[in-house]
Amino acid sequence: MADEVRISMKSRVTLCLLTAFLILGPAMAAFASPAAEEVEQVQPRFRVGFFWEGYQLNDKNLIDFYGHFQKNLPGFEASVHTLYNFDVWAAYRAYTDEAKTSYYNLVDKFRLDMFSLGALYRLSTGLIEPFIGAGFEIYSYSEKIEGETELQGTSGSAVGVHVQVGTYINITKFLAAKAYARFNEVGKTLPSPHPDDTARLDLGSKEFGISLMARF
Amino acid sequence: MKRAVILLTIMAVIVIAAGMAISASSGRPGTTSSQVGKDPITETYKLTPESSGNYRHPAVAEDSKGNRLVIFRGTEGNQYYYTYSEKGKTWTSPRSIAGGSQPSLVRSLYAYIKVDSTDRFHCYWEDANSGVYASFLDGVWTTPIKTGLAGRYDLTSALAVRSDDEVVTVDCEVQGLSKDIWVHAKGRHETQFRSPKNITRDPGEGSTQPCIAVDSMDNSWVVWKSDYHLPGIEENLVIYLGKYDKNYNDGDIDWLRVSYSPGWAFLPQVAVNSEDKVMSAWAQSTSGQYMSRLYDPATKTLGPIISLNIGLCVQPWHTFFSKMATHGKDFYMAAMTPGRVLLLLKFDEQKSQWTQVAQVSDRSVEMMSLSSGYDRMLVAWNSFEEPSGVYLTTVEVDPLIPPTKLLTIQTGSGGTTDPSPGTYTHPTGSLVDVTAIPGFPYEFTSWTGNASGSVPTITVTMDIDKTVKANFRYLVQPSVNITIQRKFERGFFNAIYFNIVSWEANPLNNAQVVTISAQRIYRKLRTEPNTQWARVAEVSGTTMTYLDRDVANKGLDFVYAVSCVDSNGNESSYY
Repeated sequence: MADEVRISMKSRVTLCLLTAFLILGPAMAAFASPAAEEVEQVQPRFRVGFFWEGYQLNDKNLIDFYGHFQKNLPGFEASVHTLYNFDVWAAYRAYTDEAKTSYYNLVDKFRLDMFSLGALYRLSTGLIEPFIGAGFEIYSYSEKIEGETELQGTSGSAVGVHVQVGTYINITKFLAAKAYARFNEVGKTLPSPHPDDTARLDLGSKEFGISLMARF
Repeated sequence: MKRAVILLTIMAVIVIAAGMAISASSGRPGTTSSQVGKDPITETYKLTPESSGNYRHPAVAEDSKGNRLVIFRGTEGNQYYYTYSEKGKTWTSPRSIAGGSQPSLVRSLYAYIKVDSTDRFHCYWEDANSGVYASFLDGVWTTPIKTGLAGRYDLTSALAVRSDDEVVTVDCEVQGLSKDIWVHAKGRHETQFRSPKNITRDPGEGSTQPCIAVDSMDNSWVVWKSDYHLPGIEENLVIYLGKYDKNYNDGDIDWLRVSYSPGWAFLPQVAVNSEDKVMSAWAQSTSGQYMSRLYDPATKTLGPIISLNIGLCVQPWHTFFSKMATHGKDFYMAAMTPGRVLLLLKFDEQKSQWTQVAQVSDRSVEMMSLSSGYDRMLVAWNSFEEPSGVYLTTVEVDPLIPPTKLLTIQTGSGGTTDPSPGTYTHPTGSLVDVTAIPGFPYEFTSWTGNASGSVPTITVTMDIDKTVKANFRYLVQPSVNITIQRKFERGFFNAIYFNIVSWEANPLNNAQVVTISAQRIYRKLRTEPNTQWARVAEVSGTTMTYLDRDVANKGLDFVYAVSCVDSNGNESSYY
């Protein structure tokens, strides 16, 4: 069965706002005042760093099967300043978990590779730069079962959207910290339902993290 | 005067003494008493119409249903006729046998009818140069045929029918100077007689005038007249009795000379009763009497010669015809007095004497036939005076108690029969159904003994004492107490459902010490009918669990059954 992306009404609204944000943000920046351009000129162009976050699953089946509601994940992120206070931002992190199969107790490994791409709008206030952002989530997931079994491993991909809010704390001219919260909406309909008869795989999540970034 | 009184007294004493002597002699063996007991009911039917021609040489028989058939020579002299009476109905008018499609007669003499186990009337009459045979059943005649000859035919022959319905005749055939007794036999399904067989082969002695009877084992007993050479005696005519097995080979006794030697004996008769005792009778012209002699094959005892004491007919010419038949264990003779009055006599074995049962004819008789019915002796005869007619006289006798045979029913372990195992008495020739009834957990396998096959119900023909045994086989039983644990092996995205089936050995199999070589697991959906059971696996005889991984869908509610296979490969039921 072909992968199918189902986006809820909430997600559609989020997607529209995100699209408007991604298109209109830089456009508005282009018509910004000369003073703003001056500010723009002194802002660093790149931010690159790693983060440590609390990653909270939405999917009840994942939580039940693998036994974790939240895991702490490291990740990498980078952004590039475009115009005015808009940045194009991307991040990568991987969620892994494992459990035992229900009867033979074989090791069942789950891995979710998450790539995010979006835009941020910062309020450039000097030391503290709050921001909001939105963008797309592109996930790849897989399940592998170790040992001799008739159970089949599974892999697939899914896409979705996110919104996030946070703030940069510019520690030095070249170093900044960041705190954020991000909400992801990523889902997929499974070809065969779970034992509770749900066929929806909810890969959405909530992420709360801090990041340390180089700015230049 | 006084002398006269003395003489009269002496004469009276002599007469009384003689009378006492005669009276005393009437009870000794070898004599014939006058009629005893109450008079039997005797009925006589005239079977032929008034005619200017002569109806002659009849034979009669009655089947098991009480239907009667009489055959006789017609007035034309070249054809045999018949008349038939269904039980309780009138006689049909005489008709030509087989619509006249029969060998043309030149001269007739003896005729016989015997009834087989299917109530078919087997008819035989003599022509001057052959015996002619035809059978009659349900109003239909077979085409009369000649029995076939190995030599020149000599009159006075006989017919018998065995329990296997084989028809056998004996006659005298002449080859050159040799006169021998020949057997002609025809099996139940044969349409022609087989090649005749010479059963005497005594080239030094002329064998003629045979008669035949069969015992319960289908041995043939044959009597015949033989010219037995004695030095200094020109002609010594004696009666021989011989036994022949089913293939008409010599039996386990040598030929027995039953009549006096030297002597002149003629026209022997033979009959076998329900006890397989053999009575022979003949006309002993030197004594002027019919004589008889009983032989018991069981003890190989030849009894004394017993006279019928009715004299022989010698006027206007010698006529020594007689016929003998049995009714159960009783021997009967139909024979003529010197005055041609036909009598029916019965042999009293206890007293070793013949007793007159009835006077059959009220006129002179030329030829007769004697047969046994259920409660009548049947005597067909034709009058001596011409134009002669054919008559049937029935004489009341005790109802026939069918001879019986023993049926012993046995069973192996595991079942019973209907009737229950035991020994039963059944009329000879009767058909007895026996059904094998297996108990639980057995099945019927086969019949052994005097029966075979694997059909539970058999029909035993009581022609001899028989033993049948029903054999049963323990029916290996399926395993019991089957439990199902419905499990699944689940990853996150996928799951495999399976059932763990467990069971216990059947205690009945353990009690029978049955070696279970394998067990077969069957499965169907709970809602499916029993026709949908399908075998999914076979495991060893000692395995008590099975993991059914092929459940496919957690929604399929399977149920299971486990059969057992014994070391002979017999599989139990499983549901």
